[in-house]
Amino acid sequence: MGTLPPVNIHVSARNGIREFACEPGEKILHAGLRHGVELPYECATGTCGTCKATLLGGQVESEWPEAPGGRYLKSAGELLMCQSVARDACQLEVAISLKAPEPHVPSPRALAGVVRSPRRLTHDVVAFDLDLDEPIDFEAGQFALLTVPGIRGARAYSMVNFDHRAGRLSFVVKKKPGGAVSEWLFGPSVKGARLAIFAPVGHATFRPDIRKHILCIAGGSGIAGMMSILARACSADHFAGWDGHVFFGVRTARDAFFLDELEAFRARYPGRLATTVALSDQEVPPALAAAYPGFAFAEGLVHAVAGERMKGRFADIRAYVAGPPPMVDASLRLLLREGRLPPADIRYDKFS
Amino acid sequence: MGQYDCHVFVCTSGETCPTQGDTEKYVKVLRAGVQKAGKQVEVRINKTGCFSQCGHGPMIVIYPDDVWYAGVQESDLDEILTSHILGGRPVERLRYAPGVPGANKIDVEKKDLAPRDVDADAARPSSTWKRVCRVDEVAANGMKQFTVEDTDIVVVHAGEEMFAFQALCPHEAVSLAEGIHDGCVLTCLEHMWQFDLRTGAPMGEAEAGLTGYPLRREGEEVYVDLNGSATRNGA
Repeated sequence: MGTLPPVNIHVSARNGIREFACEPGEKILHAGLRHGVELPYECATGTCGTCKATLLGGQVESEWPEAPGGRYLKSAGELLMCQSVARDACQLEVAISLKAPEPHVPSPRALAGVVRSPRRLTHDVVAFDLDLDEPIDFEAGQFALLTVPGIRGARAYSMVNFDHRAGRLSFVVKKKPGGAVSEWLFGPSVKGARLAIFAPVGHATFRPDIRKHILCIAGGSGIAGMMSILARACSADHFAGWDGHVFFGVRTARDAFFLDELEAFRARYPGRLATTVALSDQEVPPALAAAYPGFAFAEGLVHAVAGERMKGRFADIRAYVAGPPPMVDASLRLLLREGRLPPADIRYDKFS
Repeated sequence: MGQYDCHVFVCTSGETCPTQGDTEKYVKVLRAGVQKAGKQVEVRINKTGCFSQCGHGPMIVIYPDDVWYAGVQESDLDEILTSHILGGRPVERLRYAPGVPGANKIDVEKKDLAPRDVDADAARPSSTWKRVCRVDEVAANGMKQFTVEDTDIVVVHAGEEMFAFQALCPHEAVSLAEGIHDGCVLTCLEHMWQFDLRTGAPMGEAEAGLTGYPLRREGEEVYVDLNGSATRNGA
């Protein structure tokens, strides 16, 4: 490989112009975010279409022309910044205003890490850690883009842990039939593998200075980011002054995980942190309820359970939502319609 | 020496400013931003009456910088807040510089841009009204998309009232009928852009408004006037 120079990317938005350098082979979205330019994005992995832009000059190449987010592109000049690599200097236009970067949220960067201690949590959920080459800072609730050697495309996974200057990131992944990365994660070659990482990204962040009650609605592996948020909130003693409502939905008892960890959080703030586990496909087994007497258990879809139990308690709430898209969608409807929460207090990242 | 580093005046009770934008909401947005930044001691946001510049609103004036902003849209507030009020850098593109001192009113028709029409609009020839559906085809408190003469519209049923807008969100062109409304605000669930149900005006994060169509109910039938569209935009 020769050492090609970086190229200049010029982005005009409704509220001004930003320029930044993009390394050869680097995605335009990554280059912008790395330089503190708040380009629009949600999933950062080619599905949501939020990072679309119009190419006014220069040449780009999409690393994934068939990306599902392409359905949001209306003309040949439009592209997804999360999949596009600049071939030379480029002029782009985005149709919206760029926000100021959120204070405190660290800019992401590209680095690498080694997979440590992969472990099964359930029949189809695996947890693993990544030992990073260098520590990073992130906000609770953010996610990382991981690229597995030999498998095209990055995948987005929320950090489970929370640390300042974290040298290790923890993740949980649910096995998706036919999903190349999730199947690889369940396979024999995971341990010690070296992954490329772009982190931290995501807007569903929690900071203890928000001074609100916390509502977490999670389905399945969507609990990952909530664990980070709860860890951060507990370490800052947020629940000394504010309530926490955690709703964790899974299909059946055998799909549940992290219950001991959730119980440890709850037990620190027994009067303020309420945890409810919702089983959608099974009556609550008495043995499960007996094993976790501090939890509430309910049968039903997690957003419905949350809606029922949160009735009349939506004042001063900051809500976090993560899980399968239909569950996220139903939860957003609940929070907007029943909860009447302003969008700024509903935090979620669309990736799945 | 004054009491505040930055003193912001938003016209909320003049003759035209409040008709050109939801200036009461502007005040709320700015106050929330100041509070979020922890600058309540240094910054004061005041509601005020007329600046005698009617027709150039919504208008915001910031002292001691003596910077006047005209035609401020809700989507501009974030920039005014971040760049000027908190950052000290005036937003040049919004500055008001009429070139004449003192009062500078222009006659503006206080247009009701609300897309909703009332039966009183008798001047419109009846032939421009196109039938859309029966009232009960749209669930009470629901929304449904229809195509009327090649134009896609969403009909919103808000109890007593009904409204008609462009079918797709101006942001990502997804169907607004997939979103929700609460009788006051229509939210596109794709990226949480919100719109005033009565005017189509953008709210919060939304940077563009909806094109609305006059809608008329005759008994159980719903009609729209595709020629009477109005867009109340942030741009």
